[in-house]
Amino acid sequence: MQTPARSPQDALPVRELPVAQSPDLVFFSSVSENTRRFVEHLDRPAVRIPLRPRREGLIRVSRPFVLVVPTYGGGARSGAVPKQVIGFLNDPVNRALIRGVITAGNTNFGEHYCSAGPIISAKCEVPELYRFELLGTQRDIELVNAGLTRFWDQASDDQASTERKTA
Amino acid sequence: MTLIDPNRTLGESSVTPPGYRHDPAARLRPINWNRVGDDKDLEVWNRLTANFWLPEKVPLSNDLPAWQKLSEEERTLTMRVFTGLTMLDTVQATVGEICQIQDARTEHEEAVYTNIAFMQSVHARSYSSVFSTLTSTPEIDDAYRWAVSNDLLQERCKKVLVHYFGDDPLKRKVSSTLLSSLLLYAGFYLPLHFSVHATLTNTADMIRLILRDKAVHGYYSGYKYQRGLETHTRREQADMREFTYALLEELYELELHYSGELYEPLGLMDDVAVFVRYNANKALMNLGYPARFAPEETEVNPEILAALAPGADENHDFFSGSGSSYIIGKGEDTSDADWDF
Repeated sequence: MQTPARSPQDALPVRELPVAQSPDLVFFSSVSENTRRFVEHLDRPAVRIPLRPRREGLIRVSRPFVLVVPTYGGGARSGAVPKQVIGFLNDPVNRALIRGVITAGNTNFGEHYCSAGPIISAKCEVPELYRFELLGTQRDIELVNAGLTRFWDQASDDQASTERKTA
Repeated sequence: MTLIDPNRTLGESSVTPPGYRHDPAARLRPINWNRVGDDKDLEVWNRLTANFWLPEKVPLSNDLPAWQKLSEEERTLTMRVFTGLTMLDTVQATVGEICQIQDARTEHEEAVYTNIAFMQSVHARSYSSVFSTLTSTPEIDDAYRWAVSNDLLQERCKKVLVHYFGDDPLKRKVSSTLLSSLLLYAGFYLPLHFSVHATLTNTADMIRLILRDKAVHGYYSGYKYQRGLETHTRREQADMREFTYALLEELYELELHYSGELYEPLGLMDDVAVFVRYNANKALMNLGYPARFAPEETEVNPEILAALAPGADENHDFFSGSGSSYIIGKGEDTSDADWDF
């Protein structure tokens, strides 16, 4: 018997993060833990997109966030964005809250270096903020940390001025 | 028929063929790709098979006019650099990858090394394709005689071979990762340099295919190293860290001597050294360690970086851009299928 095609994750439990527990940094990291290590060095509150949604369930955020994501595959556009990240961004609530993307990659993959970045940037219409290789260097960590601080300061300034105009 | 204990898993009651060496009486088990314990094995296997290529698909003969325009010195350098690369890939194909099979943590990891070993043989084979397309038998023979008589090239290989044939699985992994992610890069520099000057561009395309493979090979060995390392005591972990940085230092020094002799006459060595340091840092990252060289020591010539990854030299640092404001996501409807470009 044919059943209607449904996304397999429709049935998975979703953990909704309340505003107070929804950090402005969301990341994905495979079992290699490379991206997790980069994010840990940033030393900012961050939430990880579950690696095994069928076991761990899904997450739904409630505040604007920047996404840090490794490029998968290595050498092909197809599959460059990890499927867990696709699942996360297919949730309209999550997708509406993404504000930018930071991508890890390896220049050895040539034109596909960090190709997950432009794909997500185009799909979600958010800027690609930064690219780094593998675990990232100390310089990458400093630039991203300073950049994120300015990015969110500017975002709250923009919001304040919008509120003044509409008041 | 020999009954096997139904209360034990097959993993417990049998071994994969490499286990015969340790226990000839053990029951043998065939690989089962439908029972994968580490998803990384399947992911890397799929990536490797999807990336499969052969030198025959690269139109190397289109490089003949460019080859004939090279100076005598540049041609000799190219032959020697490529013979040196052939040497390292031969080591890796016949020993470096194969020797890791005995240490595999899963049966699928054993299979992945057989794939990687074959690809390293394809890489070694591909330099011979360049030679047979561009040069003559006497020139090829000269380059091979040079490789066998070059003490530094011999020493570079033996520095890793001693660990391949040693008794420490983790040292094998470190050596293999450093070879794949550090030792080869002084050699890869040359075709990238030529391609910047619109010379030997098809050969450079072939090298880019090799680079893509090496990234996966280095990543995989480094990943498995870290899985192995975490089962050891803190003391042993500290020892391995020390071993890794010490071996890196030795290989780096050797690299400067070996590559210095090759590249110095053309005035390229400073640029080559930066590229080697940049890749040494990446080798360490594959192993889960912080960089050894400072950012200002690893700023690769932007032309070389562009030849490696078009667009990578462009400024993707949005943060440092002035006055740019972020764009609010419009919440375009997406579904899984949408992302499958």
